Amino acid sequence: MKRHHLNAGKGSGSAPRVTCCGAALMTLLLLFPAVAQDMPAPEPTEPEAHWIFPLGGRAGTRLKAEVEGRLLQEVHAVWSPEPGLRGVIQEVRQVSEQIKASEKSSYGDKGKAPNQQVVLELEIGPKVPSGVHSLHLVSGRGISNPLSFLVNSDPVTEESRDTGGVESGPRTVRPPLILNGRLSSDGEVDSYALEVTAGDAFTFELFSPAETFRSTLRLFREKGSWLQVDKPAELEFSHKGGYRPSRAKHWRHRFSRGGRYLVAVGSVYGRGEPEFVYQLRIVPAGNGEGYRDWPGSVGPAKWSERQYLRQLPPDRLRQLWARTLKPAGNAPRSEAGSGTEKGALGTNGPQGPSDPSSDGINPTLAVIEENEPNGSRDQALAVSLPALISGSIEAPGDLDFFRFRLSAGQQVVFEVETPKVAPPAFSPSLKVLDSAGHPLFDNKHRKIALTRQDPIFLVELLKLHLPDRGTCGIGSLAFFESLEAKMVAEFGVAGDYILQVGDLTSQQGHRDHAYRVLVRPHIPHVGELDLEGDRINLTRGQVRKLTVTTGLEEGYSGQVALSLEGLPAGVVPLTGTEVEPPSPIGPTSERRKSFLGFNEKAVILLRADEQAPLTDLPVRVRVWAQPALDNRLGTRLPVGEVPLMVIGSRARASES
Amino acid sequence: MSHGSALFMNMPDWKKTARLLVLGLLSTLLPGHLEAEGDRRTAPAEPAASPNGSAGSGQSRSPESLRDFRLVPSQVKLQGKGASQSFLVVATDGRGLEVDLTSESRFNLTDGRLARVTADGLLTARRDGELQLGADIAGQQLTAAVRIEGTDRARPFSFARDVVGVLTRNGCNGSECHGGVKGRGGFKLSLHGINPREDYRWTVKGGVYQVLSPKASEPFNPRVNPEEPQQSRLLLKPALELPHGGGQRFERDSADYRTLLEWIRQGAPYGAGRSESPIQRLEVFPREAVMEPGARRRLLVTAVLEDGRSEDLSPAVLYESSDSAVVDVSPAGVVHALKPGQARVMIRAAGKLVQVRCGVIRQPLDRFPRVARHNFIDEEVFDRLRELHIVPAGLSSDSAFLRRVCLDLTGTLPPPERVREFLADRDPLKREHLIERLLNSPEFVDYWTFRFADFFRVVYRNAYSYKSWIRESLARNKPYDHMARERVAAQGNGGPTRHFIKSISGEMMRPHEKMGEDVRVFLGIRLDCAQCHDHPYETWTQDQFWGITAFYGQLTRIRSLSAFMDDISGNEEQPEGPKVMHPRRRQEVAPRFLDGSPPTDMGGNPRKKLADWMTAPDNPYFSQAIVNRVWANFFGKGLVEPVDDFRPGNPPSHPELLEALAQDFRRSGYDLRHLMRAIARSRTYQLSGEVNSTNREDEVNHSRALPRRLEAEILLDAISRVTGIEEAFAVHEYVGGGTEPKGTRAIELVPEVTPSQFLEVYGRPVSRDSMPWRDYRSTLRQALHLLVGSTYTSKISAEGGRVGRLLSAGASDREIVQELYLAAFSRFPSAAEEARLQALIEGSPSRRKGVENLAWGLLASRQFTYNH
Repeated sequence: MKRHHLNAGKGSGSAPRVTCCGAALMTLLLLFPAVAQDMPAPEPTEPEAHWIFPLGGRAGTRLKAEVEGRLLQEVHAVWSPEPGLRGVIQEVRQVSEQIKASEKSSYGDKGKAPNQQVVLELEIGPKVPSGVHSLHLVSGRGISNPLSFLVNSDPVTEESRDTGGVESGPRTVRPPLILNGRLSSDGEVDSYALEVTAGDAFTFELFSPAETFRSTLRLFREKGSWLQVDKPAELEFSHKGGYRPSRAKHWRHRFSRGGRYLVAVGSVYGRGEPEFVYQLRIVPAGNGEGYRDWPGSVGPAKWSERQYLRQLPPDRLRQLWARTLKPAGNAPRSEAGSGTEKGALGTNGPQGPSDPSSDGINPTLAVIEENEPNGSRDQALAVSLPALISGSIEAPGDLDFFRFRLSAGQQVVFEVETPKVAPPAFSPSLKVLDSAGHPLFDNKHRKIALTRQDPIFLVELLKLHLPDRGTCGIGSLAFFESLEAKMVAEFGVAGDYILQVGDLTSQQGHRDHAYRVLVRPHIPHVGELDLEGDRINLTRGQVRKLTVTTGLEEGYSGQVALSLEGLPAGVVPLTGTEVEPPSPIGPTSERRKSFLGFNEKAVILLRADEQAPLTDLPVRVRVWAQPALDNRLGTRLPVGEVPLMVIGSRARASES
Repeated sequence: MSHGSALFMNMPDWKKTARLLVLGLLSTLLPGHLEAEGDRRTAPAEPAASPNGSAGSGQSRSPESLRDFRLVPSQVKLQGKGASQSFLVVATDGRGLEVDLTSESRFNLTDGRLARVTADGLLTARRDGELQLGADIAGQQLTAAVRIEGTDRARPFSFARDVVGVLTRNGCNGSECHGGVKGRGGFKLSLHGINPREDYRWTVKGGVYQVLSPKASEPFNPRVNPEEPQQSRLLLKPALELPHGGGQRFERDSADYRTLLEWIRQGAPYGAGRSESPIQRLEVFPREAVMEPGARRRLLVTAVLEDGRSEDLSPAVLYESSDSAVVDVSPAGVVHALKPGQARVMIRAAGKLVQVRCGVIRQPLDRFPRVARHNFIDEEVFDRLRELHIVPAGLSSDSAFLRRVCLDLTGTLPPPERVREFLADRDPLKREHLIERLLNSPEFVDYWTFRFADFFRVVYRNAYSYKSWIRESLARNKPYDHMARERVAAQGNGGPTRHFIKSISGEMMRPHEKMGEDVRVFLGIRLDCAQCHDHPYETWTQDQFWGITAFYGQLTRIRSLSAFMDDISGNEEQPEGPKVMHPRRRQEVAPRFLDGSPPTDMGGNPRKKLADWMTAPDNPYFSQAIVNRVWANFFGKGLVEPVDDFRPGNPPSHPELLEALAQDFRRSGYDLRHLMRAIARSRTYQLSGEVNSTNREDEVNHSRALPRRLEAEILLDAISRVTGIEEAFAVHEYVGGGTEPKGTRAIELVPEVTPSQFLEVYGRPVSRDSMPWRDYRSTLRQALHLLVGSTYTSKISAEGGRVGRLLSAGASDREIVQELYLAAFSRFPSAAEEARLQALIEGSPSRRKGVENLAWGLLASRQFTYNH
C-alpha cells in the first residue's frame, strides 16, 4: 500500500504556488458558478438516475414511483442494499428534450434533457427500518448511482398532481402524516390545508435530497384579510435550522386560533427543478422528532472523528483503542495508573500509546454532570482525567468551568459532542485557560488563506472575498475560520488548568444546547475511512479503480491494511499506485496538528477476467481496514460497501 | 421625431384619440380639485385676511394697534474696555406679528458718563458703574438695566473668539474655501472654526494636509510673520496685497484687518481659557421671525461664555440664508423678507451655530379659525401654523382618508367593496377603527417589512433569514429598541447577523462599513466622510469615526458555520485579540462612543455596549431618527430631511414636534404601531390637500396634504390590484432563473434578484448594497411606459382581469365606471364624471375598447399614481 503524508502543516512552509492558484480557482468557481455550469459535462457512460418521485413511502406498503435519468433505456431491475425494499420496472419511456436551459439538473447537463423516465412499483417490506435508503436501477450497462428513498412509519400521502399556489384549491390533510411533493417548475408552490383547533401545536419538517433546493415553508390563514379577501393571510413561523440531516428543516407552530390554515411549500425565489422532490412531515408537536433523529442514511454506522453530532459514549476510549495497536515492547507507564492524584492521563506522549485497561484506566468512563454554580473560574468543578463531562448552555452568556490537573509535557485531546442541537444553532466554544485565567487554546481553527508571498493579482482577486478582519491585502493575512469539535493540545508545564465551555456567541442559550466533552489522553489511531464512488460497473477484461481514504489521527504512525469481501467470480483485486496528488487545495492551516489529522489514499484495482460471469444484479463488495503496527494487525474496521456489476464489453461498447 | 411620438403614431387613430380624450378628462381631476369637491363640512372657512394685510411693505401699522413693547435685552452686564451691546425695540402689532421698532425709537441713558448709545441702539461702555438705558417709542418708555465693569483693562484676548471670528465672518473657513476637506492654497482651516486649536496650529506654525499619514511631505508655511506683522500672509492675502483666489475679504485698515494685525503684534497668542473656545454657545433674538414681504428684522446674537458671561456678537458673526429667494440677510444681521415661504438664517461664529426660523406670510390674519386638534401632534403643528398665519386645509373626505391611510399603513389599495362599506359607515369613530384594523392586518407586516428592507438593507445574499427576522419582529410588534439592539449586537448566524454580509460578493462588511451603516440607520447620522478626514460639513472628527468603529473591530466570521462572534479574549496566536488601527496615526483605537466617553466595561460583546448606548433613553438621536423615518412615510418628507442626515446644520423643520414624537415613542416602549397610530389619528395627517390663500406656498408646515408619488413597487402592486392581473416576476439567471410564485407582490422582491423594467423605470433602486436611494422624478421613459408599456396595456385587456369580469358579468356602463373609480381612487365618481365617461364608452368603436380606455385613463391619472 502506498503511503504518503501531506506535510503542509508540519512547518515545512512549502505550500507551493499551486495551492494559491487552486484556492483562486475554487474561489472563482464558487463566486461565478456560471463558469462551472458552462463547462461541458461529460456524456454519461453508466446509467444515471436524477430523481425519484415520490421520495418515500411507509413500511409495509406498495407504491408506484417514477425515476428520471439518462441511459436508462435498458433498465430491468431495481436494487437496494436493503433486502426489504424491492421494485419492479413497469415502463420505460422517453421524455421530451424540450426543457429550457434554466431547468438544469444538479448533474450539470445544462440545456440537455434527461432522456428516460422509468415507472416502477416499489414494495416496502414491513420490517424496513425508517430512514434514508438507497435505490439503484440496473441495466445491461450496469448499476446506476443511488437515489435516496425515505421509509417512514407515519402515513404517507403523495402530492396531488394539480396542486397549485395557496390560492387555488389546496387539498385538505389531517396530521399526523407525511406528504410527498415536488416543485418541478419555476414559481410552483404546493399548498395543503389543515383544520386546527385553538391551542393545537404542530411540528413541520421538510426533507429533500436535492442539494440546490432551498426550500421555504409558509403558513397562511385561509380566510383572507380585510384588504385582500381572497388572498390567504400569512402567519409567522418559528424556524430553526441545524438539525441533521442538513437537508431537513424544522418548524413548529402553535395555533392561537382555530380554523382552516394553509401550509405552502416553495423554494427561494420560486425556483423549480424536476429533482426538487421533498417530503413534508406534519405531526403534533412532541410526537417524535422525525428526520432530525434519523441517521444520515441507513447502513453501517460510520466512524466520525469531528462531527458535532457523533456520539461520545462512556466507552469512547475503548472504541478508540479498537482502532489502533499497542506498540511492540509496550513502553512502561510514565505516571501513576489512574492519573487522578498526580494529574496524569495514563501513558501517552513520547512513549506512545497503551491500552487504557492495561494502564489501570477504566475504559468505560462515568459521565460527570456539570453542577451549577460553575460559572466562574473560582467555581470550576474539579475533574479527574480522563473525563467525560456533560452539561448545557442554558442561558445566553452562560459559561461552565472545569478544573483539571496535568503533569508536564502531556498531550490532551478535547472532543465535544452536541447531542441535541448542533452548530450553528448551538456552537460550543471550548477554551483552555491556565490557572491565572489566561487563555491558552481554543477550538477556533484559523486557516491561512493568503500570505504576503502571494502574487499580487491573487491578493487583488481574493481580498474582495476574504477580508474577515478587514486586514486583507498585500502583506496581510486573511483567514478562513472554523470551530472544531476536536482539539489536541500539548501542555508544557505541570499544574492546574481550566476548561471553559460556552456558546460561540454570548447571546444564545437553551436547555437543548447540551454538550458532552471528553478530555482524554491522545491516542494515535486510524480515523475516518472513506470509499470513493457509489458503484462499480466493471467490464470484462478491464480494470476499475477503488480508492480508499484513510485518516491517521493523533500521530498514528502505523500502516493500514485493506481487504475486500464479496467479490464475484472472475474479479480480482490488484494493488495500485497513484501519482501523489497535489497538496491540498485550499487554505493552509496555522495549527494544523491541533485540529486536523492526516489522510492517506490507497488505490485498489479491480480486474474482471475476460471470462468472468456477468452479473444480473449487483453484488455487495465490502471493504475492511485493519491497523498494522510493528508487523501486527489490529481489529477489522469497516470502510464501506459498494455495489459492483460485471458487464459485457458489448454493453460498454454500445455506450459510446 | 422622438421615440414617444413614433410610438404614439403607431397607435390606431381611435385609440390615440380615445386615450387623449380620457387623459384630458381625467387630467382635471387633480387631488386638490377633488378635495374641493369633497367633504366641505369639515373644512375651515376661508381665512379672513387683515385689512392691512395687502400693504405688503410690512411696515404698515397704526401706533395704537401696537402692544407688548419690549427693549431687548432687558438687562446686561458689560465687561472690559470698549465693551458694547446692541439693543432692539420690538412690539406686537394688531395682527399678532412682532415688529422691529428699533430705528423708530429714541434712546437715552440715565448717566451719559458711563456709556454712550447710538441712534440705532448700540451702547458702548466708558466707565464702570450702573445705569439704565431708556427707549421712547409711540409714547411708551422702555428701560433696560446696564452694569459696566472692568473698563480699566482690555477684554481678555481669545484666538477662538477674535481671530476665528474674523475668519468666519469673512467666509475664510467656509467649505468652499480654506474650510474644505483639503483646505485651499496650502492653508487649511476647520470648517467654520469648529476646531480652533487646529486652526491656531495651521495659522501660526503652518501645516500640510494629509489624510492617512502622520508624516508631512512638504515644509510648513506659517501664516503669520511675528518679525514683520504687516507682512503676514494672513493679512496680505485677504487684503489682496498678494494674489488671493478668494479675492479681497477685507480692506487694509478695516476693523477685521486691525484685529488680526493687533493679534500678531501681541505675539499671536492662543489666549486664555479653560477650553478650546471661550464661547460655550450662541443665542439669538428672535429665534423665530414671522414677517410680511418687505419687512425687515434685525438679529441680536449673543455669545454665552464659559465663565457664564454674555457678549454681544451681532456684528462679528457670519449670517447665511437657507433660501435667499425667501429671506435675505445682510452682513450686519438684518433679515429682509422677500416672498412668502419659509427659510432659516444660519449664524456661525467660532465653530458654533445658531439658527433663526423665518416665515414670510402672504398676509396676516385678523382671526385664526378654530381648528379641532386630535392629539399632541396637532398641538405642535397647528400652533406653528397659527404663528405663521397659515390656515390648515379642512379635514380630508372619507374616501381620501381611506385611500391614503391604506397606502401609508399597508401599501395596499382598498378593494371596492371595502370602500363602499367604509363610506356607508355612520360610526363617528370609523377612522379610528380603520386605523386599528390596518395596524393589525397582515398587509401591514408585508408593507413595513418592505419599508425596513430598504433601510435595513436586505440584499440578495442575506435576504431570506434577515428578512424573516424583520418580518417576525414587525409581526410580533417587537419594541424598536430591541430590534436595534439585536441588529447592532448580533452574533451567531441568526437573521440579524445577516446584515453583516454584502450583496454580490457575500463578503463580510468591514468594521467601519458596519459602523457607518448602523449609525446612519439608528441615529440618522452620516459619519462616512469622517473615515478619512474630519467631516467636511459637521463636527464629526476622524477620531470619533474610528473610536466608534472600534466597537466592531473584534467581530469575526466563523466561515464554517457562517456565524459571527466577537473575538475578544485572544489566544496564544493573538493574545490581545483583533484591533482597529487609526489609519493616520497607525495606533490602536480604543472604543469610544460618539460623545467621546469610553465604555465602562469591555467584557463580553463590545457591540452590546454600543447598542445599549445607542438605544439609551437619553440618547437624543435614536428615537428622533426612527420617528423621523416613520413620519416621512406618512408625509413624504421627514421633519429632518434627508431622513438620515441629522446634524446641527440641518435642523428639523419642527424641532418641538420631533422631540414630542420621540418622547411619546419612548414612553410607549418604542412601539412602532403606537407611533403610527398617533400619526394616522392626528388631524394633521387627515387634512385634505385643499389649497387656500394662506397655505398655497407652504410645503413644510403640514398645512395641507401634499400629493406623493407612489413608489415603484406600490404603484405596480396597485396596477395589478385594479386590473385584477397579478404580475409574474422573473428571477435573474445568476440565482437560477425562473419565476417568483404567483401572487408575489412587488414589495416582497429583492431588487438584485428580480429585475423589472417597470420597477426600474419608476425609480426602484437597482440594488440595496449601499443605502438605497429612490428616484421620484418623472421621466420620459415613464411617459412612454404609460403610453404603450405592457404593464398597463396587457393587464387592462388580459382575460380574467377586472375589465373582462365586469363586461362578462353584464355590468352597465355606470356600474363599470363606479367600480373602476372605487378600485383606483377609492371613491365614487361625481355625476358629471359619470356622465362624461359613460359618453366616452358609448362613443368608442367597441364597448370593450371604451372600457379599456377608461381603465387606462384612470391608471394614467395623477389621482392614481399619487397618494394624496
